Amino acid sequence: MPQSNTAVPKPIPKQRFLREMKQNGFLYLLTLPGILFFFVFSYVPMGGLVIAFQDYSMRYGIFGSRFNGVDNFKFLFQTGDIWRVTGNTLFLNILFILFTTLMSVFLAVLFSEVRSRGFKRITQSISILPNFVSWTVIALFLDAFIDPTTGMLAKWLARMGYPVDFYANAAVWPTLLVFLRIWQGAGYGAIVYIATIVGIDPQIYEAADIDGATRLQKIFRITIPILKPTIILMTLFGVGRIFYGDFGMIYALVGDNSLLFKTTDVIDTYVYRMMRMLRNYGMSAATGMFQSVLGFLFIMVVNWLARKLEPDSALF
Amino acid sequence: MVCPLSELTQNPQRRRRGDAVLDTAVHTLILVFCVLCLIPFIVAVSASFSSERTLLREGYSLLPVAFTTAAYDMLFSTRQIVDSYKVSLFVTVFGTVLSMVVTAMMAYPLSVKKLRYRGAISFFAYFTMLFNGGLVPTYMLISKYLGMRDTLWCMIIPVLVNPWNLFLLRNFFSAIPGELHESARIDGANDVRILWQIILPVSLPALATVSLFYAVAYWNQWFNAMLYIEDASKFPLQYLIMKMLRNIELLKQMSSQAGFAVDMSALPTTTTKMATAMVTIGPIIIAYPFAQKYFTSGLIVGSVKG
Amino acid sequence: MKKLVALLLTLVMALSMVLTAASAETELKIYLFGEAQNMDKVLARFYAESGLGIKLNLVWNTGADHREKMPLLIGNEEPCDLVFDAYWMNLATMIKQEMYADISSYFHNDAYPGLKAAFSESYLAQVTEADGAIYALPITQAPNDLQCIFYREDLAQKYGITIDSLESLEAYFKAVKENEPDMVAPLGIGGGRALYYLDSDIMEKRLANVFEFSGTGTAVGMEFEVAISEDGKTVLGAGAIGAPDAYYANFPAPYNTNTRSERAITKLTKWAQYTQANSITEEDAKNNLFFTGLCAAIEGNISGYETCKAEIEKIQDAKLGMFVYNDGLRNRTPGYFVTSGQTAWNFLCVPYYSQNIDAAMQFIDWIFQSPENHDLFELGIAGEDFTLNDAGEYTKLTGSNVYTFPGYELTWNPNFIRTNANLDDQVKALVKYMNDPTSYTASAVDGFTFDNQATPALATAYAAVTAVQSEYIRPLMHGTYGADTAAMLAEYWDKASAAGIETVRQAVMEQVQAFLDAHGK
Repeated sequence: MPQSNTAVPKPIPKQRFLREMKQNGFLYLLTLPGILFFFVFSYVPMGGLVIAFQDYSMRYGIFGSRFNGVDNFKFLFQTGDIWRVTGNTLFLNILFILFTTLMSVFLAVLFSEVRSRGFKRITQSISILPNFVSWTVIALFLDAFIDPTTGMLAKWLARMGYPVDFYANAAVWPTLLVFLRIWQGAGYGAIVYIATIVGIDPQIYEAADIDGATRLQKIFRITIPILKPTIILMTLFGVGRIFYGDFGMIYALVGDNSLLFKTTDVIDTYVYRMMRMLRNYGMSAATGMFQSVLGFLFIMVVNWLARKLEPDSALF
Repeated sequence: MVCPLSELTQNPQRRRRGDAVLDTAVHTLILVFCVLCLIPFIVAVSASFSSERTLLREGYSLLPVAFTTAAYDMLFSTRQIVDSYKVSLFVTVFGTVLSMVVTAMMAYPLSVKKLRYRGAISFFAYFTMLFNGGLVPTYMLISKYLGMRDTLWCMIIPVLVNPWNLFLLRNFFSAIPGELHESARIDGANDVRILWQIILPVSLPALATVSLFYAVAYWNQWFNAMLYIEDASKFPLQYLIMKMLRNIELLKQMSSQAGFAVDMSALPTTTTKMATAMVTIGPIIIAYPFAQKYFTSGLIVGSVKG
Repeated sequence: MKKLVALLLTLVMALSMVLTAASAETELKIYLFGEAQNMDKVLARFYAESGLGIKLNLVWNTGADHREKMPLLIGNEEPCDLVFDAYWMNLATMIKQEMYADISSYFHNDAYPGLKAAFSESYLAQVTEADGAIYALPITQAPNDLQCIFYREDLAQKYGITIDSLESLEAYFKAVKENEPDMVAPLGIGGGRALYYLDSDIMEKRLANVFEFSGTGTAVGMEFEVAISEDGKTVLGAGAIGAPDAYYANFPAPYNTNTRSERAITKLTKWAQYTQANSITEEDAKNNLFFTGLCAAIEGNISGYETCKAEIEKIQDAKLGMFVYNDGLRNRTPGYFVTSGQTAWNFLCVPYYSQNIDAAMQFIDWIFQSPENHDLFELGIAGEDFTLNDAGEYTKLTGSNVYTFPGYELTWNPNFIRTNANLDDQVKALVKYMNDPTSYTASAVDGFTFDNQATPALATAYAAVTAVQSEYIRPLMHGTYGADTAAMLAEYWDKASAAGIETVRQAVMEQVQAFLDAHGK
């Protein structure tokens, strides 16, 4: 509760609003361009969500289309598969969030322990390289490693007596996807944490030095606790979109190889295959709605938890 | 406090030995990660300099097979790459600056704890990450009502503020010690001066980080170009490679159709794909070390305080 | 509704005539996909020779982009006078949603002699709605492409095999498998296409009035088979891969059991022995395997012959061979090609709001006014881009300044076909057979398309069934399940039934029956 208001006994809302504006008008003014942006580019189009409840006609538009209740949602639940792919989506996203966060923090700490500037600069640049390659190109790279006849990794595994047919073995894919995710995003994700570590007041470390702390102790007692709000924030962002599968990644890597669907099929790829030949904007909107509502409920709970644990990093 | 003699004599040694072990471990781990990151790129660069036929026959390797620059010659045979470089550069530089101004303006107030409605405004921004109107209304808005078709604006304005970056910056601002505000306020500084003279200077690493994120996002952007841009001289670089890859995607699906007589051999070759990928990531790799300078100059918080 | 649309169109047409008269020059905005090269010189000649006062503004989208953005663009009424569309893009939805103008009045119209000559009533039958409206202009040469196996003639000679039957083809595959360790597999196949129609009796079934309908543009294997009575008036039944034999009880013998499932269990698994491991993930077997000498044969269409030949001859001592695996077609039996549903795969449409519909049709009319006009857009400038021999067969010239254009988006037409002068005699004979109208037999279902969105229940079931199919059909068509095929078929059918395949099957039968009733002769 902001202190400025505690002095006023039970102000009526309008007065409170005016008072707040008078006190912090400048700060609110600063937020205006951003608010305007979100209003125009996010909230105005959000009106289009009604398409999810319409038999949408391109010719007659949103205002001329007939409402059809929840018809557009039915195709999702026609078979029980939606729950299986929702499960996959959750499972994979949790793995992604967990492991990329761990690896990013780990890398950030490693980088912060390097003293040589040249070494740091070069290695850090290298570590973010993979982030600039699209998943389609990564799929090409991957093929060079796991193709059963020409792939370097597959050939090596076969020589060692552990032949793995990657393109037919669904069980290895969660691990493989997590590995690729780390490869692609950990170095880039570390940047946020590096920037936070760099911002830590050196006096804190100096004080620890005087107390005789080892470097490991400093890492675990100072660096990591200071990273905590950022870690929570990053996780919260991941959690909000936890019901959105990474279509770009999974479709590029798995494509239409149905032998792998058991572990890799996420909501987005599943619906994509259904809709590939149907240009049905209503059903597409309904899918998005389904994912958004689930995500919304989820994030409300998690944000509430976050506020309990670490008030500073709660989103709102 | 009086320390036992044994600790005073042993500790520095043990610490030094521990340091050496730690340093070795740190350097080794980083090197391993970097090698893992690099190998596919070396393979890709080699592939882009290889002859297509030999590549497909003999598979990928760390060195080019049957060295040729044919893929690059083809890429640079038109003006397209040069035009697209200009577009991408403009969109990235101009977009990043504009985004940073608006994002920082919004993020700072949201970090100020005394602000009564900051929770509501944060929610207002976050909500847009969960729900979006979808393609149809967005297209209509940008193309019909805002008239941004075939302008460079369509790649900047609709993605001006990213909520993710907004919250990131807000958190960086929140991490600035409260005493800094308080002492300034006691000195009679108003909000404008606090932001301009205290907050922004101490937040350079944070601003550099978020700028980098924006720059990368602008650089990698292609979807809006696909939707709204027809004039090839306004295609950004990323769209060139996406065009190439998406073409294959469709033809791949369609080749299963009876009578679909499109000459598949006209598709871009693996080497061309690799070469294009290399050309598109080149510039941002070169730009990165410049931004990085700011991350490593992070002693500012302390110095301002002192 | 239709009347209102017609009225509006007349108004638009009248208005556009006034506009065309007022401005000396009309600019047509045309959206196509892919690319053309060195088109400026052709356009310049068109402007000079046509005297129509029509300027062309062509926009080339990437294929996938075209499919994604054209509905948005047209839904937004943005300038567009001609647009490429197809059932494998958005055509069915776009027509259903009344996004395209009725162009029927431009055909059989003396003011448009080119269109009159090029678009016969039988050719237009496939796009003519029950009420006579035409929303799409079909672009195709032959109604069907000839499926074949391309193989390495040099290897066949090496092993002393003459490929003239499925048995000798298998012998060839066997020989390659045993003696060519450097090759990945004898037969390279790609993900979506799978084993295609190899060793299938699709043509024979059509002769027996059994037709296959996919829900517009799905992969091979997902189609429903519909049997129609001999008089072409009644639907006898419908089945699909995996369906119980009972569904086929009314089919004409010998197709009165589920021959689709049968083929998957016995034939596909047999041929799968000769395909590469992981064929499911292969994106482009032709470029990646065949042209690099990693496999000894691929499936293809006769229209791909030239490219294949040029590429294969880059391999040392290699020679291309071609084998049409369907006996009736290989022997060029007249009337053996039975058409079914849509015979054209590509179409041009005019958005409903276009002001330049007259000019758009005048432009297309001009192309078909003479072979010379047609050659200009299809092949370029005579002597510079191509030459003709005495028989009227073309040879394309090479060079950096040569005009290329995807004719399948504009110029292809059964009445304006030029043959490549450089084909081998065997291939030329087959191409002639393929392009010859007497090779075809019209069927009662010409022009039928399945509307998978006809009712909400159908749309729902269709989407759900598609999801199930996407999981099973591809491995089935690749023969991946091997000895488990029968069990997997049963599993597939159970899941497809739960998803509502019966709803879709019923809808297919109803729609075909309704079509027969409306178009019955």
